[in-house]
Amino acid sequence: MPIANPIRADQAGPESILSSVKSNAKRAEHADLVSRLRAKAKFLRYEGLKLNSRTLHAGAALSSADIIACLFYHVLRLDPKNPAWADRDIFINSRGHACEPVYVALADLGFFPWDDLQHVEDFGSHLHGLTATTTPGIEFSTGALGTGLSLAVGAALAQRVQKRPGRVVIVTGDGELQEGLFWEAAMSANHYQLDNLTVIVDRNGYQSNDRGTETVMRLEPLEQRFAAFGFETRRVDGHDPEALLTALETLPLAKGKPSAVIADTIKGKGVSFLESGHIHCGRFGRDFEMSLLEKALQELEGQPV
Amino acid sequence: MNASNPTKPLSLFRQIEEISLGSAASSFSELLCEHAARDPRICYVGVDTMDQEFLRRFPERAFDVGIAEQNQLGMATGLARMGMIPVVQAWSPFTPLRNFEQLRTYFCRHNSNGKIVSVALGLANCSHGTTHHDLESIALYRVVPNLTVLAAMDDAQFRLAFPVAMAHVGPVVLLGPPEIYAPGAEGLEPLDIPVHGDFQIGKAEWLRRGSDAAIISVGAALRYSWQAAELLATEGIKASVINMCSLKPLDASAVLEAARSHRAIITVEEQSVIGGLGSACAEVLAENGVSVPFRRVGIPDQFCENLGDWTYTREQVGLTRSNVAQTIREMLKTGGRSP
Repeated sequence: MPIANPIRADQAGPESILSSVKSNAKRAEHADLVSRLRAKAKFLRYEGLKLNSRTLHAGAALSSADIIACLFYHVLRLDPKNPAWADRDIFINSRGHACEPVYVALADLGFFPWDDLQHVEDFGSHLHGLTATTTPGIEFSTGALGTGLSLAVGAALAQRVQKRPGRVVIVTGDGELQEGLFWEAAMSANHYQLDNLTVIVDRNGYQSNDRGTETVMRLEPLEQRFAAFGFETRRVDGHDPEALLTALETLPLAKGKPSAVIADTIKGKGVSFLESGHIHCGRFGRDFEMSLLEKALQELEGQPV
Repeated sequence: MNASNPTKPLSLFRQIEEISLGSAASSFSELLCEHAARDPRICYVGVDTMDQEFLRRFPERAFDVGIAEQNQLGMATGLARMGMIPVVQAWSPFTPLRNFEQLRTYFCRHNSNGKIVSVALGLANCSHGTTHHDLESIALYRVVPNLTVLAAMDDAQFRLAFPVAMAHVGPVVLLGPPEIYAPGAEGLEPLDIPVHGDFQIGKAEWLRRGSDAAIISVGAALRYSWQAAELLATEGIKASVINMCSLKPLDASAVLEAARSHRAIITVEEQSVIGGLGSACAEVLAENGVSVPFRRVGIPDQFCENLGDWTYTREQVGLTRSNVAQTIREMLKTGGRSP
């Protein structure tokens, strides 16, 4: 990664040389982190899509993979060996849908055996079609859209009362922001000044029946709406871990305020025919030919990190 | 009738609150604070309500979501999941009508160790009309898994039920005694009922034992059920009165005992006849192969749009002492066959 403003040794005193070495080391470390997260996002897409002959929400699974990678491999403080660790961060998958990258990340981190992924939606499996507390690492059973923030506000208030250091991070779809409950909860997050609470919107722009959110029920201007509800807001490229980290590494974005990160994403990211179709629901072997899965996986595999 | 300061001009909204909460509100506040002083997990979640004493003593645990029932139960679920014990103050019928999904899919699915304390069951908010009539909360509550549904008929029983609700681990709804705004109305005279026994989950309370007919009732309807039994006693008809204060789990053995030892059973509730206490008792009788003359007295399958005070509104739908008594007389005469 190019260094923006290299300091020439002859212009700098010994202290600034030291700080320059330090900051260079920091930059290198950061670059490593970003490329590691890119690789993890690719891994979540690939392994997640393999589950998609069993699950339904390929479009959002692919749009949220970079967000999930940043959260589970860097931002969230979790202990897979002790999922109930009192000081942990609380992650809430508000929509319940798009479970694929979440399941892959949890298995990869050791919350449950990797082979369990072969049993998503099997009879009696702990891995449901929508994320549920049957799965180690999942804090709340969700799936009825627009509810996650309300649960998150309660959890964040509990952390405050209990003086726990953890934070609450929720990922929501964008379509579910049409639910009234979301904004009831947003109001309360602001009222209680929950700066231990962050909402990340997977802003892929499409909802069910593959229709655009702005066609169905307009959400924009989303930043202003969050800001008006008292959130400190950033809008970033949701497929660029570097951009996501600029927001997520500095939580809370403002002291005394809940944070909102609107991550602009592409539904079906990484698979051309899913991207162009803005596919919401789709199951290989049912909605798409199984042969297309092979093609999609090849496409994902061929992508640069 | 329960306005704390009669000389203070009250806005309508405030007036409703003061009157509806009444003495149960002061018991609630006292008991809640007593429990919260012992257990730091207990927090209060109001819905445009705030227990002022709780707020004064435990400000960091006092939450009021404003007029937002869905968020109230969503937040309560979040709190409970993190180990808190939210005590949710709720108003029938808005809870469970406005937040039924949050009740079922979040609060109860997560088996939240939270307590919903609800006021204004039935036609207590009579003059406000259908928006404020609770015709179906028993039917709705009892269909939700994990949820324990309790009902206190008066303040004295509320004081016994509250600690039981708090001690039970899991979601509980405690239907508090409706305080009715109908000063001087017929039916609100003090009742000369026996002192309540211990409150037990799964146990009904026999207020009166007779041998001819058994009245199974709940909440405010117990008032006119009791009065009907007294009226019948003057005619030589001995009626039992059973307070089904544990609606879920229902005290099935009390229903079966009533069937064994009486010639007729009647359920009386300030709820729709569909799905509530009457339906629950009918299920017990049918599944146990018991054949006994049986009637449900409740709000017929209709909205109550002919409004007045509590007594007037009840009269319009047949929820009166005289109709309960008459129904029993007819059942005993005809053997329960429809006339």
